[in-house]
Parts: sequence; structure tokens; C-alpha cells
Amino acid sequence: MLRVEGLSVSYGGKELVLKNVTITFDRKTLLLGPNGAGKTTFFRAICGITPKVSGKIYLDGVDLDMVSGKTGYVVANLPEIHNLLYVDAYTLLEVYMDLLEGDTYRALEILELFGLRESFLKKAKLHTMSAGQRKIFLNAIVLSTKARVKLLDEPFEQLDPAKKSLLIELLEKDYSLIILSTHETWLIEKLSGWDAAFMFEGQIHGKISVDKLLGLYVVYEADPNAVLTIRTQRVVISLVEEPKGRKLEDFMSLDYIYKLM
Amino acid sequence: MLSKYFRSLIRSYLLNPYVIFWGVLFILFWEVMSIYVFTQNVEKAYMLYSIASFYGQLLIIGLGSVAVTLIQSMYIASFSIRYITKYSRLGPKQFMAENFLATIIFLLIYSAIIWVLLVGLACIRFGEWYLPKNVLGITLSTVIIAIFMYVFMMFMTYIIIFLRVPKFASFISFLPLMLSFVSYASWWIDFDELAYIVPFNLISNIIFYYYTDSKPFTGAIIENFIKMSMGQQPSYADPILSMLSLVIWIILLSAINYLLIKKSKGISYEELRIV
Repeated sequence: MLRVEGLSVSYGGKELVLKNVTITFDRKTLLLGPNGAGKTTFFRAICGITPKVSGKIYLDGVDLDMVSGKTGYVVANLPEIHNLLYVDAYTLLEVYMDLLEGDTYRALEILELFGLRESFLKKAKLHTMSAGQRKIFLNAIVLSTKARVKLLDEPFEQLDPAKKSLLIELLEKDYSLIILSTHETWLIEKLSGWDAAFMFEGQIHGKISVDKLLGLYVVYEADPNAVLTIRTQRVVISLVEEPKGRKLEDFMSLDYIYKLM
Repeated sequence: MLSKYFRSLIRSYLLNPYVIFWGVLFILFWEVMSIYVFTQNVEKAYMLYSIASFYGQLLIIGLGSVAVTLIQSMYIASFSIRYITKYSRLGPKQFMAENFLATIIFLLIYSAIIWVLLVGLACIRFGEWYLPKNVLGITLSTVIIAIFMYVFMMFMTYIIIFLRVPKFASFISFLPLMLSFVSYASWWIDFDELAYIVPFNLISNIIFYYYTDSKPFTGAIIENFIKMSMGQQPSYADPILSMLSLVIWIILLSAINYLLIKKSKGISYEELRIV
């Protein structure tokens, strides 16, 4: 269980980017929100690479501020944490699997499934790969470790539909606590059994199970019976069980809601 | 047990195209110039002194060039390092140890390459091996020089992070190279007492001393060579004092680095994007 309490982050002491975020993740969760909502910053803060203004993060009761030189806690597909060395992708993979105590063979197997062969990895460097290849490479590192929390930032970005389906299969088979941030909303229908939380303007709203989410209705006002009310500077939206407003499923995509925000 | 990071770091330094071009090929060009052009009026009796001076000076400039790449690599890797030392089996102490050891080994290999190329060229040109008179002394002093370069490079990296001035990262990474040319100025300028303070001058003096078993000059190398050949007393620097000064620099920079690490709050990735 990952518990985040009162997490605030700012850029160089200026305006807060994450504002007093409090949430508990106890099963696989989709973190939904438009670009610039603070999803990646949230992941960076959990990874310890963005200094916090305040707040605590606990994993199964362990304060992550106290963790040092220990594997099995958190892994992420953020490119900035995989810049340790200027070497070919194969060597980089070996180094990270060694340091994170991951399974190199499993990583190579996943990469092969996605069409990245060992011979290619030995020639390519991370920065010379295409955006899609880089995303596959970083996803493979995450999926090949035994970390209890796996943070996947936009893992479907730049992937073709066949590879997206393949990745969903791998995510479903993984037993870790996965938190997957995305601004793509078509995923909701694919990942039943997961929770979903929303992030807008540096604040987290939710969580709701994905199965329940699809049956909810959207009204553009504060509703006292709402399952979830999202307030931003521009708009208030309530997700309600009562059949009024528009059914969320009818939107097909949450992009319309993002626009309102 | 050492991690794969250790071996891969040495390999990444050695195969880095910037290191190969600016650290080796660029210095090789100046070695060719030194042996084939700058020694034209040097008497054979003074050739060892010239070779020692060239080696000392070119090693500093080479280390300065290499330092630019190493500081930038370290800076680029700073977010990965923060993550790795927290959530991988490489804790902060082991990371520092492996990073230090790998960098020192690389700097020693690099120094050896620069030396072999210079001495090899001199042998081709003059038909004689101009080897150091005190092999143990030159080896130990090269290790101390490598340690100094390491703590100096770390200081340059930490200061960017501590002061949260990522926009100066590029400028700061070039400081070692700029400072290495201060030492190069000692061919013409006599630094007197300053020769004991400017660390890059100390390096060339220490190299000269152990290479030739003769006291180095405080500067104005050309002028002092002429004085020597005319039987006049040149201005000598004390080699032991030079070594002592370099060790004090290492201790001082290590202490500052320790404080910078302790006090640093880090730069967020987002701040870099703002810059």
C-alpha cells in the first residue's frame, strides 16, 4: 500500500505544482489528467528526484524518506532516472538490472516481444532511439524488476495499437502495485479491476474503481450526492450515480471533460 | 562487490567521443607540435626538462578538457544518481566509492595514454626514450593529481546543484579547461609565491620534479631555461611544498564537497526545463 500525505512540490520555491496531495493506493490505479496537471511531477516526487516542499510518502508503513540504497521499493519509466551512463542500450539495461536486482532475461524477452532485438540494443543509445522505442525500453526495465510500486508515466505514448494491446496484457499479469499516469482515456474501458484517480491543477481527486466509473453520470455543478466532485479554477463537475446529466461512458473519451477544466 | 556500474563507467569514459577528440586527439596535436616544432632550439642536454614540461602542461590541459565532459556527464546523470542511490542496491556510500574509483582509474589510464604518446613521439624524433627519473614518484604524484581532479570536478558539479544555477552549468563545466590555461601561461609568466597556490601550476611543478629529479621553476619556464643555460640562478619552486599544497587543496575541496552534499536540496527536473 502506498500512502501519500500532504505532498506539496514547487519549482524553485515558486508556485506550488503539487498542492497538498493526499491519497492511498492499494491496487493498480490509473492516474488520469490532462497534460500539465502534475502527474509526472507526482511520480518524480515519489522517486525522490524532485525536492518536496512538504509531505510524506509511505510504502507498507515505511517512510520513503528513510529509504537509501534499497531495492524492491519504487521503479519508474521516467527517462531522467535512466541517464546514469553514456553507453549503448544493452549495457545500460544490464547496469540497471544489476542495480535494481531485476531480471535481464525477462527484460530482453519483453523487448523482443516489442520488436527490439539484442543486436539493435547493442548498437543504439537511449537518446538515438525513437520516442516509441525509448518508451518500450523504459517500460521493459520497469516490468522486469520486482519493485513493489511501479510508476508508469504515459507508457502507451508513441506505441502502435498492437503494442498497446500487448502492453495491457503485460500490465494485467504484473502483481506489483502499478500506478499508470495517462491523459489517454480509452484505457478506462480496457482496465477493469483497476482504480482510477484524477489529477487537475496539481490536486488529486478520487479514487473510484474503473468499473464503477463507467456507470457514472456527469453534471456540471456541485451535487451533494456525488461520488466524486472535482473543483478547478474554471469549473465544478460532479460524477453521480443517479441517471442525470450525461453518462460518462457516452463521452467515449474524457478529453471533453479535460477541455472544460 | 563492485556493481556493473563501476566497469561500465570506465568504459563509458574511455569510449566517450568528446574524450577521444578533445582529450586525446587534440592533445596529440599539441604533442606533435611540442616535439617537432617547439623543441627545435632546445639543446639535447635539456631535452628531458622540455619533455617533462610538455608532459606536465599538456596533461593539465588534457585533464581540463576531459573534466568538461566528466562534469557534464555527472550533471546530466544527477537525477539518475539521486534515484539510484535511493532505490537501487547502490547506496550513497557505495556509489561514491565506485564513482571515485572508476574515475581515478580512468584518469590514470588517460594520463598514461598522454605520456606514452609524448614519449613515443620524442623517441621517433630523437631516437631516445625520455623516461622519468623517479618512476615511483611520478606514479604516486599522478595518483594524487587524479584525486585532485576528481574532487575539483565534484566541486564544480555540486556547486551548480547547491546554488541551484543550472543555467551556469555549461560555463562552470568549462572552468577546469580555462584554469588549465593559467598553468600554460607559466611558460612566459613567473608566478612567484602564487605558484604554490594555483592548483594547476602545482600539478605541472610536481610532474616536472619527479620526471627530472630537478626542482621546477616558479614560472617563466622559457626565461629560466635561458638563465640555466647561461649559468645564472633561475627561480625555483619547492616541490615538497607544491605537493603539500596540492594535498591541502584535496582536503579543502573534499570538506567543501561534503558540506555541499549535506546542505544541497537538489534541483528539480522541472527547474531545468524552465531554464
